[in-house]
Amino acid sequence: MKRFLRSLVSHSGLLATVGVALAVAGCERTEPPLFRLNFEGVDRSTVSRDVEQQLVDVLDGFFGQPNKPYVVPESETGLDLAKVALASGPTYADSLVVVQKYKGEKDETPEVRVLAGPKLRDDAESLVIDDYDFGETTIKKADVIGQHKQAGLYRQHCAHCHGTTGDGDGPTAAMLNPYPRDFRKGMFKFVSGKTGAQPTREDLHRTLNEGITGTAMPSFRLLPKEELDALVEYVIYLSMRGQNETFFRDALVDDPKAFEPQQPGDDVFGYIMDEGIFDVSGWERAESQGAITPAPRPEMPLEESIAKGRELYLDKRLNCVGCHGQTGLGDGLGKANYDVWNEGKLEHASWYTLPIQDLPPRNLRSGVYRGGRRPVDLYRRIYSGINPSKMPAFSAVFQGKEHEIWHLVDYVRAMPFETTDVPGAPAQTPAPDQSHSPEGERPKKGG
Amino acid sequence: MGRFWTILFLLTPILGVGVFVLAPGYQHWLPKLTSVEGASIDHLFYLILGMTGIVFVATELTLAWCVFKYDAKRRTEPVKYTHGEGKIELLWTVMTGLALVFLVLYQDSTGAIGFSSFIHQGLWEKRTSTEKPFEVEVIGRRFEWRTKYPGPDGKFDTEDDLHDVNDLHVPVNREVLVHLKSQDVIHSFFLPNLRVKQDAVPGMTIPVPFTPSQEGSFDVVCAELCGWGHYIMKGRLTVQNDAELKAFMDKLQASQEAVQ
Repeated sequence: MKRFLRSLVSHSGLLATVGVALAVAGCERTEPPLFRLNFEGVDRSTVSRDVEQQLVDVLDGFFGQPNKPYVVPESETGLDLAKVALASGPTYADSLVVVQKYKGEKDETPEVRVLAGPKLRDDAESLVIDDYDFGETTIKKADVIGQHKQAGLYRQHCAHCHGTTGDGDGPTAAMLNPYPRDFRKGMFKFVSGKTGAQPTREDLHRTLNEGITGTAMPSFRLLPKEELDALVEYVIYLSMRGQNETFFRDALVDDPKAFEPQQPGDDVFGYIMDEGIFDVSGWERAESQGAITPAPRPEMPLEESIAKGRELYLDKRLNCVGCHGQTGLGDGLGKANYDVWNEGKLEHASWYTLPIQDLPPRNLRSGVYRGGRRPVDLYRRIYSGINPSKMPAFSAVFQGKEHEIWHLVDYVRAMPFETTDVPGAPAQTPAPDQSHSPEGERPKKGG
Repeated sequence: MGRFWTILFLLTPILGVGVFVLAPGYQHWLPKLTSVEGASIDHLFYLILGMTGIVFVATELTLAWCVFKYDAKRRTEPVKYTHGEGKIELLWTVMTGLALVFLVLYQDSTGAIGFSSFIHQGLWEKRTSTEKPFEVEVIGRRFEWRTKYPGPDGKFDTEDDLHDVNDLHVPVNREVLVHLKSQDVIHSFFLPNLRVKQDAVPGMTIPVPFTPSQEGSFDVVCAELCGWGHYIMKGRLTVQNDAELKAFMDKLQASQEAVQ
């Protein structure tokens, strides 16, 4: 026994070294990530360091950084900072993502609301917060209001594809086709509003809940509602930041002194707001206008509606076949086609890490509907188009006879089951298996 | 010195058995069984646990006894070298082989695992019931479980198929037949409560039959590392009575036919 203990003591030096090595490796601190600047379409060599720094400062003031998100309250973005904070920051971090709320003047004792971070320990007397205005600050626990949630949802679930900045350039992006969405243009494919509208929160929720089949976007349906809310809010936050970054950048590239105070005491923030450089109106409009209301669905047997839809599909004026092909296999287009994100990079393709991806027209016979398979989803795609891609809006063509869009919808939904023997000819298989099961028929059309 | 090592070696079987005795009380044990077929899987598990447990304890006790008996302090005679004991080695090799052959034959007789390329496929092929099972297609995709119900006409790949994701609804006390597919890489369809685990292999449709015996909500997880999002590839299995299941299907159909 004694000898065993002695041998343990003689080896304790080695054990201690291993212990220290493990402890040190676990505590390695890395620099907090920063938002990457967007110089898409601009020759960065022509932009001076000074301008870059100004851009960083102004953006920092309006939106903060990934570990310390911020929204200027007066900018009326409609963003809920509590939700943004929950989604931002490092996953399972031991530093806090924090926003302070003040009751009264700043020199009074602050009333602190910690929006997200690790759980507050019971035995903790005080809390060290990384405050936006004051840096690292120690707060008495008694002053902290409420318990906060674990932060870092975006970096846990989204960042590896969509990137910390939301630029669609995360580590896994290069392996995917199509690439993950770059939120910075503020453009989204599957929206319920008018042509070119930004998505409502409900649209983004739908995408998170259903995923996008045919792409690498999975469903996040089983996440709790409040976490999905936080992620939706953060996507909008990143998108607003990205859009306004472009506005600020363009203003600065035009005039490097644009944001410099003319006289001492001038307020850069006020200037940007007054000049209308800061703009989030698209998001407000999307929420206030909401989804388009589809025309009432015409009462008509399904077969008849599909036949009418087929006529419309082959109609020269609509030119569906131009892209989707005579048989709907997505083979109508002879030349390469690009969505808005890839097209923007065509001119200087070598500047970007991800090679340009082309955009094939959708194969309508695969039975995969990225924006959703419900008739109303297809109606919206046809009525409003898919703005960032080459799918045009047909609202003008169907002006006054919007109900005809439903025929096209019915045909598109029937296409995977139609024969391709005679392109454009009526289908030769009128669903033979439905004859012996009357309840197997699709519900009758209406409303 | 010899005594200390003997006690240390004796602790291994004592602690090892102790952990297994205590674990169920601390909820570190098999999840609640909620399928008919799962009972035979559990039975096999306990049988194999018992067999390996006995061998484990016997081996550890022998080891402890050897450490005690051949302690250098108390044994003064010179060391003997041996080139092995042919008969004993033959004995324990044959015994192990026989034990394994027994397990193979026994598990086939319990009906838990068939002689087939896939466990559950074997079960399906040996099935004697002629009742029509509740059919559903489950398609693994990075990183979600897409489900497809045949819809009112009872046939797949027709216009009235019902599509959903990460939310599998099946009836209670009726045989369920999952047609398991994968769209990209190998996934593994794992229902811990129902003791069902089957790889989903791209290019194959593998039948996975099971009969849920309790209503409730259970986990569907992916048990094969399939990429960065493996952790999020979880779904929910809801076992319902027929009325609730019909209500769910009607709701799914209504939402799939939504025109507003």
